Amino acid sequence: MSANRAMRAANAQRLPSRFESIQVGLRSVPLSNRRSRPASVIVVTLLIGFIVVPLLSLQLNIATEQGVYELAGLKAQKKDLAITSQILGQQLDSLSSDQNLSSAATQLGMVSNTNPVFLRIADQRIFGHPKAATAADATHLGSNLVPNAAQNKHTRVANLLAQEAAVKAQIIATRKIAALKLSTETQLAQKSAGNLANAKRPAPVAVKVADGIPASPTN
Amino acid sequence: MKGLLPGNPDRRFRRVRGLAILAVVLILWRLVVYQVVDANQLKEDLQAKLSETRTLPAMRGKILDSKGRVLAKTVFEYDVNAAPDIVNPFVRLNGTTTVEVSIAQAAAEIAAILNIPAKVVLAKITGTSKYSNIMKKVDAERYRRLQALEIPWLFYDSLPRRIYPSGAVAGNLLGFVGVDGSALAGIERTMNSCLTGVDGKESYEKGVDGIKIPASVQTTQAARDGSDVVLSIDSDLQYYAQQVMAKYVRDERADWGSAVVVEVKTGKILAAAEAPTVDPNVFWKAKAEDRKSRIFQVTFEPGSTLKTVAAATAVDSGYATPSTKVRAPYRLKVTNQDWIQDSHVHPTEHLTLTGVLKESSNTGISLIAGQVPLATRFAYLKRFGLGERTAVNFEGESGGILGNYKSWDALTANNSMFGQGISVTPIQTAFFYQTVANQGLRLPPRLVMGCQGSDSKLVSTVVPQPTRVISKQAARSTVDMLEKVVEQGGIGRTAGVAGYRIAGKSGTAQIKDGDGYGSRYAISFIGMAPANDPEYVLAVTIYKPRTVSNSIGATPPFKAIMEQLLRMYRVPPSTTKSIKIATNW
Repeated sequence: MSANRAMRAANAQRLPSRFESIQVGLRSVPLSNRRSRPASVIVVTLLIGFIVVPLLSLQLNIATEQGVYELAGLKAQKKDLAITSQILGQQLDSLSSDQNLSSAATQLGMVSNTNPVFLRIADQRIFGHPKAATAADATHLGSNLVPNAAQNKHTRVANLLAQEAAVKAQIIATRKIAALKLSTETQLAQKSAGNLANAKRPAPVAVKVADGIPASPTN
Repeated sequence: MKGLLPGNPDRRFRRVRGLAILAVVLILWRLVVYQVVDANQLKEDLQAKLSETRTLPAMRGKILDSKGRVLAKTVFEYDVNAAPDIVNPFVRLNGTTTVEVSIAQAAAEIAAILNIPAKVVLAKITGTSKYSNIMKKVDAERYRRLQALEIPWLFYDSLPRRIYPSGAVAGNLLGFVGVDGSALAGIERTMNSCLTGVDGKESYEKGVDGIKIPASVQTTQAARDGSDVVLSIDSDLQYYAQQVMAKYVRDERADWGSAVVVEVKTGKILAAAEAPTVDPNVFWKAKAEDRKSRIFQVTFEPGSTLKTVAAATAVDSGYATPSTKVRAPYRLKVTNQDWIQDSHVHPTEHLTLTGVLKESSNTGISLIAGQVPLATRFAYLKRFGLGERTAVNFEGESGGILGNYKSWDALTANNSMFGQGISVTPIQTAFFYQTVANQGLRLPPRLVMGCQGSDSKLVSTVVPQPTRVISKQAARSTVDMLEKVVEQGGIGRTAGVAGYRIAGKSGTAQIKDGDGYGSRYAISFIGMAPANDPEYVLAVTIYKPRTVSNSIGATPPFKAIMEQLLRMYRVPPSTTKSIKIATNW
């Protein structure tokens, strides 16, 4: 009871002055203009719905369509890559076939040593008697006698030999340059040796490379 | 028009309303017709127009060697076709400019890639037909180059093709498939259920541009590729063995030759080489008899290599030891009419059983092993695997001819001790020696290790239990005796490999020709290494050589393959010596 009374008192305080005369809990309320506000919200919502939903649907549809074309493109790409893989696989098969390796090894002058020697690490024992393979061993089997119609690539031994010669020439040239450089440096060092005792040795300078790690001053 | 004039709005309204109702009724009726009456027909018509059903082909599985190297696989090849009725000059985009390509130029470009004359191409693309095949089975590399030409009237059909990247390596074992992809021989056929996949199917609707309409897939059944077959074969060793056999079969002008390498303690067949052989890529180029696997399918009388079985039988059954003495004459009377003799004339020799094997004496083995009752000897032959197919169960495999000892005549009963009157396959002879090398335990030969699915799990083939044939001691004694054959034997010595203890036995077998024997031989040498603890057995057979008439022609290929085998498998040279056994007295 006391709670109801307190509530009524609170309501009485909040009500506008023109309702102050009303003392009972039930009262008539005029239909205010507030009814039109939810209606407009609904209409706007519906309108937005009618516009946005089809737009979203359209967007989704477009995205799906694009996805389908993208999928078709990717499938074509996959097919293309599968063909590439097949071509490379067959080339690899050919080059790594026993027939090709055997033939290339023979052309390169490689011979199989018929005197294998084994080292046993555990007790450091040697098994077998080392003996160099000779050219006579190379003629043991001769040419390839096991046909392979699937072989569509062959190792070009001439190319390998040319590459080997080029690498050798490069190594020789590099060594010559290094020797020449060493010789020049030695001469310079000998020339300046006389003045070295009186000369004040400059402090090494660290050369910075683009604000990174300082390059070695000896370089 | 009168009713529509102002002044009579009610009538006008009624008429308009009537027309509107009629229109609605008509529309509703058409709707009912479309949706209900003709619905199914219309749906079928639409599907026929737009739907597409295609097979998703399953790839046949690969055949792999013991190291995972591919011996057989499926790739795609392309049939190159043209539609002559639409063959015309066309425009090709060349960078930013366009170039017109004439028919003659296009034909020349195609011809250059396909390596055929341009006039041939030109003839094939001329006409009014809608289809003309220019070339079949073009590989992927040339297909791609043709595609790059962007010729609008060229069309391609992709077709699966079986290829064998190592060519004739293990060709007799692998078998081959026909042009329609059906397995015709060898492993391809016997393991067909493992290798074959299940084709899938996909139905969908497509737009006018041929692109699948999203969410239109009606039925999809994914293709299930075939599984891989894993073999026990080491393709490198197989290649080497085939090279050796091809050389010696050619040099000795023999009908054929075979070499079988067996891993003693597992029964795995590491190599099963034959010459002549077949390249499964072009199997039709090989003779029919060279397409099969003689190692499993051809039988012959083994000759003296079977003396090892007779000697092991005598030792195991307690009738002899390696030192058992015998006086071995050159000739020996077996029945009232029949004599047997040794391969060369000699005075009566005082041999031990070891000496009998070393000299390969027919009379000596008959006198010693002949003491063993025939029923017992026959039981041992059965236990060694004679007369029955091996567990490999290779397509068309033969079990050899053993018959029943009860129906043998006295001569056959005797001659069976040195390999006459009964016949075996090369794989059987290899496993007689595997038994001896493996302490008397015969293992089932293993060629197919199993079927390996996409999850890389190997489903092993079912392997029968090993068979105890002779005791460990008898097996060891037999190996000791065979070691003397290679150490001291005239022919055996030529099979020796420097630094290794080798044990083995030669065989020079006559070949049946009608009722008697012909002038050609089947020569063989079967051995094992290292003799102190055998790891590998090698059985070499050369059939009907024309430049040699005894097993001296079989030891060089044996030696060559054994050397390679020991080197490849890192078997260190022997550090022990054979035991001393007298060969004569």
